[in-house]
Amino acid sequence: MTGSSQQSSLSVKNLKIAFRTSSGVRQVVDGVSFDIKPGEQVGVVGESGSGKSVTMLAAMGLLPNSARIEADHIRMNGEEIKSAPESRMAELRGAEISMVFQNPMTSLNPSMRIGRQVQEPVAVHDKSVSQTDLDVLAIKMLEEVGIPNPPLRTTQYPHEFSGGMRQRAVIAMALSGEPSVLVADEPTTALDVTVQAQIVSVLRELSRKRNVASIVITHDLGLVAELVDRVMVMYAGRIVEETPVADLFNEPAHPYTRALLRSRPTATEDSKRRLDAIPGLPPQSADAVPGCPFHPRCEFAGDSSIDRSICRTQRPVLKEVAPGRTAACHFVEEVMSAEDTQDLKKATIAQQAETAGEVVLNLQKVSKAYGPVKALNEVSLTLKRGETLGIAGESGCGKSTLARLAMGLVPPTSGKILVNNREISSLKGRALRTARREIQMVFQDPTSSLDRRMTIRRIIAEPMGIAGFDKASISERTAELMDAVGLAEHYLDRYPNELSGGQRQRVGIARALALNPDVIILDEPTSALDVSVQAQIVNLLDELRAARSAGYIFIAHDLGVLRHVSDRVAIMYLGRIVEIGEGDELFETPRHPYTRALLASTPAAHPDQRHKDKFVVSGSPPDPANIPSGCGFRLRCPLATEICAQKRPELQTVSGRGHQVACHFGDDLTSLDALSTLQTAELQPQESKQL
Amino acid sequence: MKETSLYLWHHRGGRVGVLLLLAMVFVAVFAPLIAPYEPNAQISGSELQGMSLTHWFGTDFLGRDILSRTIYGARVSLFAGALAVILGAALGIFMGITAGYMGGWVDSTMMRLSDAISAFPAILLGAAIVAVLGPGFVQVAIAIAIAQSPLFARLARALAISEARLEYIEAAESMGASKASIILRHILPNAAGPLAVQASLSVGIAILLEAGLSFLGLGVQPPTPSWGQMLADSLRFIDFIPAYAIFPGLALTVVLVGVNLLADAMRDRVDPQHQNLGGGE
Repeated sequence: MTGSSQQSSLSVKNLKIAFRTSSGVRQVVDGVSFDIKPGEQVGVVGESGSGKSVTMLAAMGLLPNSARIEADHIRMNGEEIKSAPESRMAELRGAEISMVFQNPMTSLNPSMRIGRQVQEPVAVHDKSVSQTDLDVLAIKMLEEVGIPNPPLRTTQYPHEFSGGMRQRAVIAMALSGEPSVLVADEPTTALDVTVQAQIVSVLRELSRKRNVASIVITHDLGLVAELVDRVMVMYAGRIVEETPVADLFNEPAHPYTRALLRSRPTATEDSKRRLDAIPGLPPQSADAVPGCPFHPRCEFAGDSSIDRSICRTQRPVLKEVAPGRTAACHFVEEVMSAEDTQDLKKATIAQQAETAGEVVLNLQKVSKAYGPVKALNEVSLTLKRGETLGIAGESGCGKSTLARLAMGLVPPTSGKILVNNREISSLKGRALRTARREIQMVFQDPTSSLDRRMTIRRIIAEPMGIAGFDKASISERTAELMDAVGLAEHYLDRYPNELSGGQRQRVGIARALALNPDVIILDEPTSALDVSVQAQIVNLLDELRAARSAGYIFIAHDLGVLRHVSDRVAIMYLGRIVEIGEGDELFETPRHPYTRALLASTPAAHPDQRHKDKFVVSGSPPDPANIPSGCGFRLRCPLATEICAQKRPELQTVSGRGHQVACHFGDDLTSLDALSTLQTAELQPQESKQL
Repeated sequence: MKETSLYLWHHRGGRVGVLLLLAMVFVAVFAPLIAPYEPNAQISGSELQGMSLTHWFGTDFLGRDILSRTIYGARVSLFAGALAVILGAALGIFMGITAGYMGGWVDSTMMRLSDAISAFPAILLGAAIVAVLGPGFVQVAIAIAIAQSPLFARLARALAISEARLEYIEAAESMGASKASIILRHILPNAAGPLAVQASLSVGIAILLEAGLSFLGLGVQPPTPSWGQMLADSLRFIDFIPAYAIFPGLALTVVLVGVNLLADAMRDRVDPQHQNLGGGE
């Protein structure tokens, strides 16, 4: 209890949730309590399985029947809703509490006009509102979330909206019933970086303006830094720390929070330090680990030198560590005063660029068109042995097409692809299949990239079997690979579903290494993983890059990860490379307005940077089937002039170290630097034509 | 496999289905030991009798024991059903998976062919095929197999398409695996579950079709007993010897109920959304 006289918008006390499953009862939330004041912005941070989404779904009464919910109370605006009948809950949902879901592609009804969907929360609760009033409301709501031309947009269907516009519509829908509580579950995770920044500012402005209490559920500490006042960190079904957002970043009180903060690479950091990965995995259920649920992964839980048996035997309770801050740890003081040992641990990674060898992959003016869609346009690049080339860009920029072309999975429309100086774009049949072995890929989704009916042994052995290795060398190499990716040998006879996401990704990496390829393409290898596991995989890749003699292409949208792993970075937009150069140089003096926009859109590393003037680019990438004349970025670029529409800028070298940029203003650093002082408001939403 | 059989046994409906079918298979296999008379032995003077202690189910118009003929009829029904489904599934799955994975003209050709087959009612198509191949047990199985193949083809195609979209197929391609080996090693095993459900549902339909074709005189030729043929023969006498029609019909019903219960249990096993609803634990 907070003792404040103000009534909470949402108050939960001692919430416990268990699920009945075929293997018994699984406790997923164990004793969670919180109070959210009207208009307050709260973040709930945790990894998958921490119980963060389940907690909020329970408050909304949206959990399936197999869930067993207990609580001292769940109150919404003072009303007890713990055992409220479904009919009452239905009345509250949309009117008092509403939700923004992760994926705007699936959270709108594809066969219903946007206007209708935005009106729905009002229409279902109050039948007396006239259709004219509802239509007016829908238009007003779309205007409020920044969708241009609302009268037309309300009559359109979701497929006529881009991803970012859809998420705006979802927010409009969630707010149209004037709820007092808004729950946003990973509201930006499915969106492109520049669009994420737009959605963040819409959410921030609207919740302030309408005085809605919002709860943002996320795994992304950057989003928390951007958006909320107060943070609850969840681990294994419990709140382990609750604190104002600035304190969380300055002085984390729980070892888990501290470890999370230290395990993420950021785009503003130049050193190639080894990331502080959190060892191990989060527990499967709230009661799986005795004592403190975090102790097996905790650096404060003691080693042989100090006895910290209390961490193993006694469950720490949330206690006040400073005014307005609570944490559940036996050694809070020690954690809070712990030195930031990061610099000492700065085991720098062997620099690859110097040792780079011969060219293993060479793309010469490669284009690929799928009908009218020009997925890739005249892309040229080289990759040397021992080098890592990072590729960044938003959806539709052609980075996946580039990967598929390089692997010989699809033929280019024009241009040449040379692997080890041999052109693979002209190979067919068996010769092509053999040549493919020189390039292997690690996929984004570790679940769908492994055949679920095969054991790990068969999965890793498969490429070697196809390549005709004999049995003895397969089993020898398999053991070697398991060791290289840090998996114990007993996993060999398990199936993918028995492994965690991070372990599965290790299997995917082992499989890609099996044939000793010359080029390894990593397509967003960490983006499907939890934050704490992501660092483990990045470190593993660092080790492999140091040890193996292949060239790596690392595709990612996370610029922090990209900067960390890459020697050189290429930024792609609409099927072209718009800027390419050595990582540190490119991130420190970006020459293309789009690169600047990407960097500015990356969520802040710290809440103090939140209100810095930022260059938030408007709109979303245009349809690759309908590319504007001249420079592809000009419709979203505040620097664009006549010449940008007339003449397409070619890649030009701007520095001695091979930094190239395709922009008419690439040399004009004064104008480029002025971009960051532009206020967002000055940028009219010039939405790219979707029709 | 072991898990699946265990699941079926613990599934309430599944267990009944398994028991019914096992009983029927037992009867079919051990027909010579169980049947009280030779199925084709005509006992002159005792034609068209009702139920009695000597002939529990009565006798037919040639004086043959209906109980014995019903028992022997199980052989035809079960065997024809199984054979037809194996052939039909093989044909349809081959067409569907190839179509779904290869796409393009292969897909269009295979699927237009399958559409053409499914444009005709199964019984009409079966009759036409039997008319070409001539009546007989194997011909009937082939006819039913062809009639059923579009069901398998369409399902297999859908499964192959969704499977081919997953990244592990791309991974296999990048290792240099051939299309044939990707189909056999990856797509087929992952599509097996739903296809097995379809197969178990199809057994019931196949048995019914066999009975229908035999009823029309296109199936198994006399004197070999089959339920469909017995039902056809009984029509003329249904008014005064109902047992003649009832028992072959009942046997058919028991098999169909068994097959469908099993098919439901299989579906529950494969579709996670249905799991636990049948009382499975």
